[in-house]
Amino acid sequence: MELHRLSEIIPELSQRALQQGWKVLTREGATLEVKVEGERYVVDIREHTGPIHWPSLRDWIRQFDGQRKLILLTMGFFPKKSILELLKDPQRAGRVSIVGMGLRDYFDTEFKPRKLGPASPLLDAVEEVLAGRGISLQAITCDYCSERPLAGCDVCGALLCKSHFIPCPLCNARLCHPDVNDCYFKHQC
Amino acid sequence: MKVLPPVMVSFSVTRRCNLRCKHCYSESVEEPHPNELSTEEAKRVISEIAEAGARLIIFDGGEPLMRPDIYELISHARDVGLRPLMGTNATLITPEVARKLKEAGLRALAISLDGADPKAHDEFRGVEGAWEQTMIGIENVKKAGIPFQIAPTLRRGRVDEWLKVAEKAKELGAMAVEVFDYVSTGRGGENPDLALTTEERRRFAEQYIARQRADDMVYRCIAIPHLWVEIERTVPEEEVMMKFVRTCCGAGIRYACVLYDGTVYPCMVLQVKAGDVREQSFVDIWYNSPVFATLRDRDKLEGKCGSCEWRYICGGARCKAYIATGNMMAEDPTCWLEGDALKRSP
Repeated sequence: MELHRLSEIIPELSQRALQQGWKVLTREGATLEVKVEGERYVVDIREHTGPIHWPSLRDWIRQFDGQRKLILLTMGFFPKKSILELLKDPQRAGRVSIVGMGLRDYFDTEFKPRKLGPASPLLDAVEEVLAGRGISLQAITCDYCSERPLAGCDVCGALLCKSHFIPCPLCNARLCHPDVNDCYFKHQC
Repeated sequence: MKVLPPVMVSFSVTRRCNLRCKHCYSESVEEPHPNELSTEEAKRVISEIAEAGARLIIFDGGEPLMRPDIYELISHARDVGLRPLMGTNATLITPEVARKLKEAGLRALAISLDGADPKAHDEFRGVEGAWEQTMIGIENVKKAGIPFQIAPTLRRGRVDEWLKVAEKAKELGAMAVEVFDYVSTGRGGENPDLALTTEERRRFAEQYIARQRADDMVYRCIAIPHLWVEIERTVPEEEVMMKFVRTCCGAGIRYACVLYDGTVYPCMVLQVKAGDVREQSFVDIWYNSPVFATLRDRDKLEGKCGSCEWRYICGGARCKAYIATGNMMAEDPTCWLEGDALKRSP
């Protein structure tokens, strides 16, 4: 792996953005703001290893106004509980992508790079820049198939794609589809 | 194939009704059916529905409030671990009735409303003044704190009416809008000209998708399963897709209906007898009925539905296939999808 600090990718990403004809709005340290096809994207990086728990992720997202799409990268990782919280608000989940290199602590050297978020040209560019350094991002997927998770099960905490969830008709809780798990039948409301 | 428990079961506890709706699938009348299940029989059936693994039971009819023991049945359902719901025209819901429903453990109501104003509703429901009575009932339900959804029925020549009803539902504070397609069965069979044309159904689909896209109200649709195919085909944003509730045909797969005389159907509008709770337990019928086994095998679908790549999801409206041909596995004659629309992209 040819990566010591994630912010090393910012100059290359900025260069790539310009080559694509995208407008680079700001570039400061570990932050890059780009206008792509009428949408404003912020790429923001946290270098530290270890988990980004939900309160930290929530505050990170809140640093930016709700109009911009976010691609948040960390050398650490996003625990499942953080992902489940992120997915609780579909609007928020539709504008935030998360990318973690998967290092559990300072001494961990084994990258386990994962990504989650809506498809976007800038996320593709991030992926290509990282691939150029030998880092291949694996998508975080639905617990029952290879699709992108869009919700978390309120009963068992499984990550669920659009095909594998069912809403409770009474309270709209999101649950594993009865075809794959019995959470619908266990759910209390 | 592993048979899963039913997601929900309707229990049409009586055929008695105070209205004369043109589309009534149970041909409800003023008199109770001579062979109506007794209180003890009905309670046994409710216990069996719980034993089958269901979590939701919908009391309907007829008008379920015409049955004097309805509160006892609701509280029994609650006591055996079911979440009791009710489908009603709400005209009989006084403050006292609403209070008793709440005390019995009713979790929510589906209230039929076919027009945003009295004229459209009363003409379809067959009794003048029904709309006003329903509005009073809704107010009483709200005061008692019972959540409710509004359930309009689509009909020919007035396909846009549901949008007005949806607006009214929001104004009334409904938790959801559940739109029923007109199905020509029961008394509805006497008025087949009220069923939507294919073009109207397609127009409804466009309206429905646009509406759910723009709105946070929960919308559901019954008896137009291929609407889901249209949603998957025309809504590319996955986050938006999550707002839509599946519309696929669950007759005999996720859902069944028990009638007031003990007959079990796969669905209230797919009136093919799967069993009789006076002869077999509901558990036995749900898990072993050949009628249900046939419906659960989507490879048995015929015609356009049989070759459609969406068949394991959509399944076509089995009720409409049965009404048109007498064969519940025939193709759904109301499906507007053709050509590439029947192919599912990987």
